[in-house]
Amino acid sequence: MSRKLAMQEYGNRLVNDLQVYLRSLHTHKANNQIVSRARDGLLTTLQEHFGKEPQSTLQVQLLPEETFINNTLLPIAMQDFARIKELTERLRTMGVGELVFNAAVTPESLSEFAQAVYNGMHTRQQMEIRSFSGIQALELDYSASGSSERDAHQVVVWLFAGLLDGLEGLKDLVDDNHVPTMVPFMRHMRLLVDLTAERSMVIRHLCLAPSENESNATMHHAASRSFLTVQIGHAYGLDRATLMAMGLASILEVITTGTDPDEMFAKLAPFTTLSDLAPSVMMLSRDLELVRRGRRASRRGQLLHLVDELVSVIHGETPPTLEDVQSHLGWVSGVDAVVLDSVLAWLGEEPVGAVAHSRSMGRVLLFDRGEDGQTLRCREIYDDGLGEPVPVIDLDESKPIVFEGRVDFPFEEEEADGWG
Amino acid sequence: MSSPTPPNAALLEKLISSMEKAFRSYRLYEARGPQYEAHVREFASQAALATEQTPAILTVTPSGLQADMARAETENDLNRTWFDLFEQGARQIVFTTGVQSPEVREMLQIVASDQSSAGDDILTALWRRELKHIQVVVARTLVRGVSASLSTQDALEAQYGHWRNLLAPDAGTADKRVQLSPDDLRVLAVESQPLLWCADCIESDSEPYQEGVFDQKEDELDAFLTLLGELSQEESDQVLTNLVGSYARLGFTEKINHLMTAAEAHPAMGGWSIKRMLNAAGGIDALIPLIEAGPSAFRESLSAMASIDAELMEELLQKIETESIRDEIETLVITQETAPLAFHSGRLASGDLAEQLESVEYLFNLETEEATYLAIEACGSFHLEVRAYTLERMTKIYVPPMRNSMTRLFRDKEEEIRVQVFRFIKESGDRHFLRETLAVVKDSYFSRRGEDEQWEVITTLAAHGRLPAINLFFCGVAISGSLLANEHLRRIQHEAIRVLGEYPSPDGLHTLRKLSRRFVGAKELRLAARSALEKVERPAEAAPKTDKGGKE
Repeated sequence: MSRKLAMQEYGNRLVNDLQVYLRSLHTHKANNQIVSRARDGLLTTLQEHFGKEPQSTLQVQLLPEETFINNTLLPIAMQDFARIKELTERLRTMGVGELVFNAAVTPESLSEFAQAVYNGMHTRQQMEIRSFSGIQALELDYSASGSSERDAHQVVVWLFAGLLDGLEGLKDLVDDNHVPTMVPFMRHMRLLVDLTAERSMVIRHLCLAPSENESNATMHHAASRSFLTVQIGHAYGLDRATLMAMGLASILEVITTGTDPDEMFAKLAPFTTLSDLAPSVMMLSRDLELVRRGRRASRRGQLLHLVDELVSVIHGETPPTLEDVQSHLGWVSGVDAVVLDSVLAWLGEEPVGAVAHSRSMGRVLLFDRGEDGQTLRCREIYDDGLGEPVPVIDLDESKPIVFEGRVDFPFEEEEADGWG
Repeated sequence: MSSPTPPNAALLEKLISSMEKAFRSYRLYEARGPQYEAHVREFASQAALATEQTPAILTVTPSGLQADMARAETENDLNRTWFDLFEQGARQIVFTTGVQSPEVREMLQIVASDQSSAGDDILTALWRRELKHIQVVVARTLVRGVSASLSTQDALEAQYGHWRNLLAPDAGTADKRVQLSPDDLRVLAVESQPLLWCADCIESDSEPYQEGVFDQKEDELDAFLTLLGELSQEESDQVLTNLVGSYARLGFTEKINHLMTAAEAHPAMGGWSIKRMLNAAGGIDALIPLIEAGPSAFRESLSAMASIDAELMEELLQKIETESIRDEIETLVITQETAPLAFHSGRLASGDLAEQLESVEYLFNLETEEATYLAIEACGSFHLEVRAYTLERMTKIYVPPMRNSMTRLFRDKEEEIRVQVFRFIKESGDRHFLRETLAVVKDSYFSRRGEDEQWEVITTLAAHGRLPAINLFFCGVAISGSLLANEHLRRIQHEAIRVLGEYPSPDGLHTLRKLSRRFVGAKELRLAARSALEKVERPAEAAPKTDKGGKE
């Protein structure tokens, strides 16, 4: 039996045991004997897994119409469907959509969890305590098919935050001598390319806001570089396969950085899940290291390098001015003039995402280019938030444009209602 | 009372049924053979029918496709293909107007073949193909944030564990920690709602800044293979095996062809034979469906295969069930070196203009009878340029056995070609074609031909006006004029009068006399007839002029 089929079969049993256990709380208290028997049944099923793989976790995600265990969709039979749906809805009413188990789970922690569920069930309130030994009860937000343009910006943040975790995981696994699969990153890039077409302004704001987080600077830098490379490539009409290859090369940079170009192929050869993109990704990774050493490389490799430099200067210690950025990029060696011009043209003379000065409003965030793509709009920056988007009419050109946007500008709560 | 059925519900059901049939057929017949072809065509036809007026939207469920969003009332067996697609996030498949068989074939290749067992992501593979008329709508259910009262560190470690599970399911996660600081975007994503102020950003449709800036100028695969040679044998084998397998699974026929062709010649491919390539792709059986779907895409690799390993080629041909495709492959594998006549003759049937021209020229230049008769087969080419070139070469060496080919051009659909044939007839005076030309001019459809062509026909016949049948024809033309005749017709009548004057015959003289005495009709024609008659009746005066003209 394949690993996937085995996981599906096991997942069905686990979810059924979980349903029986939590269902028993409907009519009995958490310390009831029937409940205890159901708990022991669930514990046995959990220990069956952790006995074989003590280092792993089990993530059960309960969505309205589908249930996943460790990212594997469970083929729930029709006769069980109603029961699992009831479990999903019951947990959802108390704000739980995902349960994460690890080997530390004990009968006691299961009982504590059951008690918390019992309380939530009978008080119709959100679960207060969510962490138990070996169990975490998490909320699960998701954006469904055909999500509106308005909440797509939230997906951009999830995608970015997810990539940070993915990059950490990639580096850790490679450091532990594993060869991670690149398939999840390919899916990630697919979503990114789609979102680039839908919400390019949001991606700009997100990536051009300087990072204040020193501990995570490397991964933040890599994620920003990946997002911006894909965005600039998209703006210059590259096709999906090329965008994906460039994004993957940028992601792999966290493990290939500093590798001698001549060693690059040996480093990436084990990554067989690059599939047909292997030639493009390997060549790009090599080109990036070549151009970093001032040697000739393809324009796509040069673009990767230049975006890398752009992110470096924008996310530097002091927020740079537009002139600083232009000057820094101009001094980057090994890059053709046409590549430099392309990146500068994309950035623009009044870059969306940067902060400028308006004679009437003072400091303003350059917000977007309006519906016609020509009308630059800005938002006044207050201490407690941002003003309404208005067309820029009186930019004070004597004052520099500075990259000091933020991803966490305060926002009025009431205006946030109705999304997410 | 039942709810009204959407107008295209029946069409959608038929589309689903034909699609499932094609999917079953793909596996049952290993994506080849006449039955499979019939099912693919039926699927493509149903898709075209269902999308004729509006897009056809099919809902993906773990059990299969549905024409609407409602959950099926009866439980179907879980269908592995649709289950995998659903698991990866596919929720709808949308066919739009204009969908055609090649797109349907590509979709089948990606979705119905066993991608997931090789670790590929079907949805991403489909998405990358950018099929113009088949789109998959995806639910972003697996991209999510965690917002709970759970400690931020715990919540994010769970997310991190989730990623590690995705990247390496066997690697374990429990002992790993993520370093977080309060302004880590992940923390912000959990504790607040960053970029909420961005929700009002307006996206404007904009054209790409400038296309082509980042296009690759060199052959990436060739450069890649060169660098691959620097790896150890084991490493390069692993990369290549994986690459060939991926190309085959994803249906990248051109890339397979390119790689297989490069295999034998490339110095960096030490030891990689076409046979090994085939094995890496899953054996020759795995490639047969791709080859059958478009043999010409494999031209170079099949030719290389034939010249290197004849047995392998034989094995391949035996496995091809459809006779026409077998014939096509046999044609493709002939090389210029091994059998130039067959090679160039075969290329005359290909669709490529440059190749056809090259082959016609090559065959004519051989100057052997066999090659010449193969070359003139290009009279039936689809390309006007090829037919024109063949005619040009054929007219220089025309002999009666070439009559059939010339007849084909005589009846060509393009006026430009027919005019050239008439010029050839005018110069050669071939009796057979003069008779044919006379038949053309007497045909009631002659008047529908263009004026230039009509004039070419008339002058062709005029050049041979001494022949009785033609002379008699011009008698009729000369006398048939009317006051309403346009300039073109009067020009023809003038030519007829000229011919009758130049080649006098009893009937011709009678016609000229009759015309010169006519009271009705155009005066200029009467005068022309009189003038022609005078020249005929005073041969002594006309002869010196002719001689003089001849000397000049």
